[in-house]
Amino acid sequence: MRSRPAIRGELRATELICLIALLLVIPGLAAAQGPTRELEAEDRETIQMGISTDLIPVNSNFAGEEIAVFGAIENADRIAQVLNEYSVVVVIRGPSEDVLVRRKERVFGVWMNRQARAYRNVPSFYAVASNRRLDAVAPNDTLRRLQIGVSRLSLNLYSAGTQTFILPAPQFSRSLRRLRIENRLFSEDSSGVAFLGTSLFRATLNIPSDVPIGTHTVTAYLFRDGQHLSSRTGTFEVRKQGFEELVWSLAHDNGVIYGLLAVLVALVTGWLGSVVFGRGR
Amino acid sequence: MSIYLPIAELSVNVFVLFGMGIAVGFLSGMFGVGGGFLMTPLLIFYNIPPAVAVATGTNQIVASSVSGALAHFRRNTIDLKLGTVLLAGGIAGAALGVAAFSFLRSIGQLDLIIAIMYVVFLGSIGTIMLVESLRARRRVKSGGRVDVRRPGQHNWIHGLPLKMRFRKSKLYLSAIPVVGIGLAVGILVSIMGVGGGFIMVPALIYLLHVPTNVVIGTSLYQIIFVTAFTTVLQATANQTVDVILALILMVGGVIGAQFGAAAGLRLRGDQLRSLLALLVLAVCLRLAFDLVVQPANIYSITPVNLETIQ
Repeated sequence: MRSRPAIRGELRATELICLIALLLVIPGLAAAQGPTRELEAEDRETIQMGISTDLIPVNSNFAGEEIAVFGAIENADRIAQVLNEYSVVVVIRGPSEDVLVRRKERVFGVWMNRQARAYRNVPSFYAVASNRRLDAVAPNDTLRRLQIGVSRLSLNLYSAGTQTFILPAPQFSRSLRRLRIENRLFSEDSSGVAFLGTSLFRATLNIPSDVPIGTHTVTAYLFRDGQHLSSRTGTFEVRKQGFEELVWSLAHDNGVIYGLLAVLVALVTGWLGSVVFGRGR
Repeated sequence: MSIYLPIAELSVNVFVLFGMGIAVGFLSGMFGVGGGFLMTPLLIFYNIPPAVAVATGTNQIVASSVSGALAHFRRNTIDLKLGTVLLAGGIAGAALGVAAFSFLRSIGQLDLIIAIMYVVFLGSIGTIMLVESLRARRRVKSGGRVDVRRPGQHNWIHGLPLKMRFRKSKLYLSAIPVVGIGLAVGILVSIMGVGGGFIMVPALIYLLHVPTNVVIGTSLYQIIFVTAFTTVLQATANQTVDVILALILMVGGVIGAQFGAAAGLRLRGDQLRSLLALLVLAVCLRLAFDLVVQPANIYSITPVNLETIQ
């Protein structure tokens, strides 16, 4: 049991021994030590993960995409597997940004933006997939510490000092979460992770068409009995490609040239229009 | 078929946009107006961010004005000198407008100001046009002759200094009101994403007494340059010109205008004007409605750079 077997066939044999041993040991352990389980570091279950792509190209016909995350639980405990005790949570987190949440109020009959709150380092995209409801995965504290779940995501209020705060901030942070959910930029899917067999899993997450550009991190977490056992992190890139990339970077790096080109396009289109249709005049 | 707009950063249906271009082009061809005041609100109704809608609208107007201006140029119905003086004011106005646009955007009041300006301008112009066209219609019905108002030949404008001679318009008047009108319209162009013809044309006719045969051509001539300048400024200052969106609208608009112009020939002038007035008022009411009715979301999120705020 000390050296980890490399081949699956061997694993089965050792697993069987392990299983029998655990069967004998676990009830005693549980009785003796309560909820804290003691496992040797080498025996601990770990999670492995791979992402279906490391680049999502955004081009003219980009209308969103589905990303698949595959993985396996290593050193899985047979009983826990049979009893469906493992929880796998996959979290995608987009590049962080600072945002201003504005609130409209009625002024002389017209709705206008009045108060605002600033938040720092809010993920521009945040998606969670799990194989069960998050409150059944782990206690709130654990999830909050790991930043798992839209409602548990910490939003750092930033006070500029100059603003007079009348309304309490919770309304603003609640609205921030709600709006992001409505725009499909924040999401939770408690059936987004499916086990294929006993230790392999597959997570599918929807990437909407207005997904933020940049590096997104993907983290797969493994839980058992509300305890966080292991996690693995990877990344993928969302990048504008081809013509879209050209247009966007020109617009942002060389606004004057971009503007002149836009005017040129307009002049040519208008002129062509008068050439094609204007003969009769 | 959906297409991803690189600057607006969203995926839209290309046929809807193309259809909008054709529809607005049709109406502008039919009524002989630029159509910017219809296009920008339509884009906003279609969830294009107002900042992108306005800046892209000005880009699209460059295209729709070129064909018209070329036709007037061939017919020699442009007062180039008057247009150029207007243009000087227009460029200054556009620069002021874009600066105001950036400022309003940073304090989160841009959408509100755009909507209010639309409601005010569309509302007043729509009402004036409707009243005027209904009067004209009554005169036609009662068989009376359509009375051509001869505006007073002299008013306070003619007392201003810096007089210039505009040969084609047969006018000798101060450059100050000309530049002033250009400036005011330039501000509207950059904040509202319109050509400004709907203000420019009445101002030239009623304030400066420019002969009607050169008014449209001159207005179109300066609109091309003011909107082109505004496009470059918006692209530089706000990065809100979406050239893909603009191109779809331009192509649709140029095609639609041809059919519209043909349809317009079958209607009487006063009928056209009352229809246009109703259309203008409808857009105005819709925008006004959105302003006063509680929005579905009273909260909104804007990405900012907190470092630059400090």
